[in-house]
Amino acid sequence: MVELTLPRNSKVNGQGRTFRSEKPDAKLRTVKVYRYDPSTDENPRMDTYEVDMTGVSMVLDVLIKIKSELDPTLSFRRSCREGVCGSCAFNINGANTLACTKGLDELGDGPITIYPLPHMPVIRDLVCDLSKFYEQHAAIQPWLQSAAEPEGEHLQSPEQREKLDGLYECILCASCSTACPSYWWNGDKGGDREYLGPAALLQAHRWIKDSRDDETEKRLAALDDTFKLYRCHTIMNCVQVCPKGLNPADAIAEIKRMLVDRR
Amino acid sequence: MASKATSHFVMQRLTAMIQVPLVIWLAISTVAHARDTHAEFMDWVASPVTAVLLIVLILSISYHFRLGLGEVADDYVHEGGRLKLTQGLIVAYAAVIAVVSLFSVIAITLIA
Ligand code: SF4
Ligand code: FES
Repeated sequence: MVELTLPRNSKVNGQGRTFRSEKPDAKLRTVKVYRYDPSTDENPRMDTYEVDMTGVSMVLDVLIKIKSELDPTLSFRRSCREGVCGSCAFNINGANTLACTKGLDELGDGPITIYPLPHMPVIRDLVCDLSKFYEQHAAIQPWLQSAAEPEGEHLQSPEQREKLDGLYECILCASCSTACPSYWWNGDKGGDREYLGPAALLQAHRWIKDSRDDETEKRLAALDDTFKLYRCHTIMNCVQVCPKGLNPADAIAEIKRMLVDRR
Repeated sequence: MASKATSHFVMQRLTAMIQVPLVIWLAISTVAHARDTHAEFMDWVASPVTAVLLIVLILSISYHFRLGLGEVADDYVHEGGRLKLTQGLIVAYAAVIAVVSLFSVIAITLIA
């Protein structure tokens, strides 16, 4: 059966540490961060940091400040700091998003709580294992498949190119898939009963829509499956959280529409 | 060329669409017949239009029920053998509901 509770060794224990600020006059804000160290037998914990927010505007800046000034043991992924690489996706105040594009002013006044992306195996602290997510992306064959061998580029009219807007911008941050309850239940079943998730399906649609690609029929046939595609129940969390403003639910609905027309 | 998956998706929507007008019709009609005597109500059920609409509704609802509950099983029952068993029980349960309901309508039609 589906696992509705966390395994025993994944439950957060009450033994989080608190790092108090030594600057009582500073613009302080409480930040709670999920911590897990695989080298110990301890369960995960929530550490609390009092962070001076002077000169800090984004959640990623807060994490960097914690790591450089309060606690160098904190682990998290980041690279571009401008919403392009997709590495800094976490669950921030209950919603998946990119830490580098999430402004502190969007988070109200209370404490900030940061967890790793939901339902992913945690490697350490905020770093989770995305191998399965990338395998699912690879499964939709995200490359151009065309028998044509033009001298130069594969040409496309501006109208054909426009059809890819809202699809090609995905940075594979995994916020959408890991926000989807159907992906939590069905994304890691293995074998032939696995849901691909909104991110992989958005990319599947991106290649289906590409006028230069010859394999539309093969791509649709591969998705015509109870588990790979039809586990989407239009919950729409993916649309709610996508930090790039994309609409995976619409892409999935469009794939379903094409499958119905193809019958 | 359609796989079972897409046919399932289409049938779910088709049965839902059939049920919208029929359920509204059933609700309005039963309220309209609320003051009937037992015999009058049986006569109404046995009239050809009512009986046919009821049979369509019963078939549509039991099939929709089987598809919908099957979705829940696909979502939450992971182990292969147990999933097959659950799906089998759902089909059987939907079939029993359909047969009993159809039998009732036909019996009323023949008796009234
Ligand atoms: S669709 Fe949006 S949320 Fe999903 S992986 Fe792409 S950028 Fe991230
Ligand atoms: S650091 Fe690259 S998207 Fe946030």
